Amino acid sequence: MTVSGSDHPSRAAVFLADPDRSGWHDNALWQIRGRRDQRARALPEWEALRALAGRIKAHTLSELPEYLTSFEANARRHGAEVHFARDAAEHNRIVLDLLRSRGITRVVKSKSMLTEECRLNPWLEHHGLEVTDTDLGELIVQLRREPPSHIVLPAIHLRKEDVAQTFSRVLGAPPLSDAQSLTEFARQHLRAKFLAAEAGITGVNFAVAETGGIVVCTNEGNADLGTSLPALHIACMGMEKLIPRAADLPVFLRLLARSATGQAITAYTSHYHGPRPGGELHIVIVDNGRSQLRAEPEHRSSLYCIRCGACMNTCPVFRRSGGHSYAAHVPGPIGSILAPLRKPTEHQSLPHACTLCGSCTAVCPVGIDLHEQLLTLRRRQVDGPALLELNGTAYRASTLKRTFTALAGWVLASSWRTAWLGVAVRFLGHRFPALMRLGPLGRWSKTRSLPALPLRSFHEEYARRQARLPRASGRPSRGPGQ
Amino acid sequence: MRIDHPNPRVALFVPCYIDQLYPDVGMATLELLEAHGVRVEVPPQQTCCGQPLINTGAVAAARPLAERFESTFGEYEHIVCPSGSCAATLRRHPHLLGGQPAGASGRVLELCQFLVQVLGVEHVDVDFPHRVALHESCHGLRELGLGRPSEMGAGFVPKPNPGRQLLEGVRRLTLVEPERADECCGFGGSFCIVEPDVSARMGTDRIDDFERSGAQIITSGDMSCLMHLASLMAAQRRPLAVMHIAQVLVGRPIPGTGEPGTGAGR
Amino acid sequence: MNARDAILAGLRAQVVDPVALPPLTGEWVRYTDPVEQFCAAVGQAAGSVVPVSASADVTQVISELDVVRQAMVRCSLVSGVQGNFAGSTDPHAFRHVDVLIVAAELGVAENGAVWIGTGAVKVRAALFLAQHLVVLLPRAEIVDNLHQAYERIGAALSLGGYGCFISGPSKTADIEQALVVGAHGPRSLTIVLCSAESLAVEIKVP
Repeated sequence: MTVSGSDHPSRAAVFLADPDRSGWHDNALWQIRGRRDQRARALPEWEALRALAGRIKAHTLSELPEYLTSFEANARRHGAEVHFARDAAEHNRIVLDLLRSRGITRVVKSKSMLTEECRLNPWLEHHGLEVTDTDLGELIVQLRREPPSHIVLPAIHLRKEDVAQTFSRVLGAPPLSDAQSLTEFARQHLRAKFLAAEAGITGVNFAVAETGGIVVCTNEGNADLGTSLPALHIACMGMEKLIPRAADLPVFLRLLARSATGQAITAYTSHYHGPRPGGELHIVIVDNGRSQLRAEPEHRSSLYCIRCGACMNTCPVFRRSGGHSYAAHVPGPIGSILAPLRKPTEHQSLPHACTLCGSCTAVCPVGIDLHEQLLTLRRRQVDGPALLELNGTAYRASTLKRTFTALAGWVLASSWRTAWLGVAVRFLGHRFPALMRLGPLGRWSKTRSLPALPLRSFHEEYARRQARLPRASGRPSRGPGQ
Repeated sequence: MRIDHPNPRVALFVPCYIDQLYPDVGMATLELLEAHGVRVEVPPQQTCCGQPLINTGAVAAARPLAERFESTFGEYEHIVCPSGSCAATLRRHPHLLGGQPAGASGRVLELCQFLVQVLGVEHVDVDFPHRVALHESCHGLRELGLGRPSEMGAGFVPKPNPGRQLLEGVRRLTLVEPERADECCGFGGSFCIVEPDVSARMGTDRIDDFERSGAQIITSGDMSCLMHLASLMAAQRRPLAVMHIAQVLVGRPIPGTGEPGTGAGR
Repeated sequence: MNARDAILAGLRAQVVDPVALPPLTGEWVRYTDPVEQFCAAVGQAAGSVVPVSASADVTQVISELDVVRQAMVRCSLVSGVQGNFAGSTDPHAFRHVDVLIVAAELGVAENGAVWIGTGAVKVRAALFLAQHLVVLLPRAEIVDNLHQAYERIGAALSLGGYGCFISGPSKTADIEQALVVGAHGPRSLTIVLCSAESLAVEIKVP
């Protein structure tokens, strides 16, 4: 595999080239993982909740069409309008139509990974609308014209000097040096936006089929400010956000904030049923490939994801390479499953951006077998069934890789071929050490020494040892026990 | 699981990289088992557990290796392996390779697990007056469940950690703890070639942590992790050394000192 | 075929193994002193609790709170507590409110959250535009965990409207993980913990 500018390893190298920044990033996310751990150990029913949450999601997915229709009926009963979108383009058209038909040009938006997935902002801006992201982290990256690097902590890749410089450059802020005054500046800036907004777009954390209500969780109160002031509220959700009953909400809410930030709950957990008095609520339910995921038994559980980000906080690779190195709107372990399933060629390096340590699976609040699915994707790249692009073309790993692994398998399947390969490597390695730095081994020795090659393999040593033993016994001279 | 037979017959599975690069780890394993009365047999037709192929996605290429494992080890009731990751891979052959019935591979036990849980060894008769840090390998901890992964919350019932148990019983050995209990070392098989920068950063951070903890020796039930850390340390000229847990438990001298250890097998 | 029908038809055509909805019976956490746990959790969420004994005058305690004394514009949604801004049906009208006084239906010990529903506040923007929030909560209405809370509010949810679990003031750590209390919503949250008898809570519609 050649290293180019367009894969995870090369982008990770860029991130790591700044050891202060990458070290800070790693440590900051590790601290959040630590806060999650404290919460997980303090709540006696933690592991039981995880198991329960996974089962509820599995059940909901197994009866998704029924839950979608009952959610729709109940939401309508409260006066909400419900729209369906097959793909990102349809979603974007629906949202644009709702805004344009009302002559709306000023929109505020709280955090929604779905709208990132559909690239809603550029679409609306292209059509002359002003869209302000109101989650502070999202605002910062919006002003910098870059994507968020984490689904819960969008600006975790930035230091406060970066934020100060951005506020100054784009918003004309005075020189500010601490988080408190920077946040105060953003507060005033956004307050004006909230008061002037003509529509508020939110995501949806949970959609409850039984009640027809939607739940949005924030710490800043920005979803509520964005939807309680303008008359129009547009809520965008992937169809996997459904859960059956209100009584299921506490299972997920108790897991969500603890997993995401180590808080017991977010500052605001808002429940919307129908529009506010004098207002409108439009809910847009999006497929965009979720049906296909549901049809894949090995990857169906990736739809359980409640977008908590715990997998990113714990992943030793994510912490050291940063979210931008994944070049996917959802990065990290879950993103390394979702992105290659959608665009296998573009994201072919993501399933390999992982040591299979299993930490992600251990923290996932809904029990997705994240690292197992990454391994499955690797298998599909080599052995198939092939991953398909949207247009149907199949992705396969390079011929070189497939040939090399088949050859390696052939050698390793035989004890004498393996032994002879070992003899050859030891002979050449002792005579011509420079050979040990060729090709892939060169990448090893960029930062590492190579292990010293022993004179003889274990099997050769063992055979000599056995030859030296008295003929009749291969038994040890000591008796049993210590 | 306990055996009561005084001289049980056990097959030793020697991971391919230990065979080729670290034969003394195999020897130490052999000596450790024999010191506890085990009749060790080393079937010569054995090869590789297939992990390097499986982990890179070449599962079909690994299937002949699984067949060879079954034909080589099928007659043995007890199979021991001085590597958590190889043991985990073997035990998961049916799941990883698909369509295989569970066979000999399901009977593989990691070395410390075998000593403690099958032979009932409570402590090893060895003197090792050094400061040792145990690197918990991801496979040993999270796949084989030998201990309590730090991610697990309340309600998780951990299984015992036999490697740690044995180290705690070694005379004059001081076990020191890193700040991050069980973070991955960054080896990850093909990962260290495919993602060399992240791999080196992960390994270096781990070494920093062990160094801050005051360790002289980093030990583990997985030589692959130690190989990765050792190669970084050599390039960075660090004062710590690595030893496989079998080498510690038979009292090998710490690398670079030539001081003799005392104890079983020497 | 429209999008809705196409999506539903596609899903129905898939064969997915049935998974039963698991029962929600569980040993959810209980506290020996839920009120104490609640107060600690509110503190962790950067809020504060002012306990009022049964014999004390709640309205006096509220009027003596710093955020109330220093407020120029006070809006009270609780009868018996005076404000100088009667409220409005227009959400924007609340933008000058310095302190909003409102009643919560219940509190949750495990996370320090209070539930404020449609009955308590007709114009939800008030909860977020006010610079400071003062919430009255009868201590008898503190439950141990979130499951118990949803048992209490579940039926009302089906009837519609708006409700919010509020835990502490608005906050963010989006800049270098430094916690800043008072992000876009209220800068502070004070919970006045009273007994049911000490205040006859009647929700006034603004």
